[in-house]
Amino acid sequence: MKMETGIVIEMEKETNTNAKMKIMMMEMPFQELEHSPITVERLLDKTKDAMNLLLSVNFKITDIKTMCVEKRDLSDELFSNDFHYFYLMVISRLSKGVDGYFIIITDMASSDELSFLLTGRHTSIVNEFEESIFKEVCNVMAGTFVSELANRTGTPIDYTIPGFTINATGELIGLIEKIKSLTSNKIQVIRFTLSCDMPQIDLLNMIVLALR
Amino acid sequence: MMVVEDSAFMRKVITSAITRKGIENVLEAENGVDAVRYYALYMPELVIMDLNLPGLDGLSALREIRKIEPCAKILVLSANSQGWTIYRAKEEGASAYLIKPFTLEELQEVVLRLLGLEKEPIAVEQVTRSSLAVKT
Repeated sequence: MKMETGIVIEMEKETNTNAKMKIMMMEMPFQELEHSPITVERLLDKTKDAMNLLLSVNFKITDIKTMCVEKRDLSDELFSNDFHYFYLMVISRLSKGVDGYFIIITDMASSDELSFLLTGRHTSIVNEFEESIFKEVCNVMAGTFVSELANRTGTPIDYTIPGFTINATGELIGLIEKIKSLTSNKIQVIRFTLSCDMPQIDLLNMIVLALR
Repeated sequence: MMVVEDSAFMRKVITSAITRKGIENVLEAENGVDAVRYYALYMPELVIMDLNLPGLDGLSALREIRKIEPCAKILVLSANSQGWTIYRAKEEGASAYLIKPFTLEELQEVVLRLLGLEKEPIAVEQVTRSSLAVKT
């Protein structure tokens, strides 16, 4: 697959059938989504394009899993295993007056990989500049995902900047508070594994250029 | 020139990219309120503005700056590529809209064109998805 910017993307062919159209479980107008060829894979593919361009690294997204859970169950889902470390959280307010929320979560290994690519260290983010890099990546991923979803469905979506706080030991905090503040009981969770083809030593061109 | 970005990382990336093209005296603002205040004080020739800003958001800041100077040149940067958002930015008076992620070359090209430092200005209503730049 060749993306618009000319970067060749290797698309992982393996698909999880359960992922298809599960996005309909988001609190969005069903009638529009039913007739749109939207799959989580395609949305994530667009997001991956953004990641590849931003980081100048070829990423593959695999092992896509989607689920729709009740808010009261989400904390257990997020914190009973190690899927909580790197996540994108998008709070969307659809123009038709329906609240919808979804959270994109990657696994710990991918988080670690990303963290290393971004900061040269594993998992722990220790200063504000590194945190701003991390947040910018989240912002671009979330923005690309939401925009693609909105443009495909013809539904404007307002979204917040992905919000999280990282404490001194590199742990994400603030997620529980965010979730508690949601007015919707239904939360869409999309998990995916992000893997990198290139040696990690090929660090981010943008950062290198910026720090010269 | 003024760069309005809440991300320290992106401020550094953008400032670095444009100073390498010989553009000096780059102001930086972290939020919309500071952006409007700095604009009124220094009247930079071009404002590079993120949309997602704490406090006063980018579109509101854009609107306030245009009240100060109706002909202000403002390049909007955002990961939000929804058609409605781009349209709103255009309605508020954005000079151009660059969708994140962009390459440094794309950013430099748009900045130079907006400053009139490139021979060929951006065509009116030109939408160049290949370069991710949308002229509004």
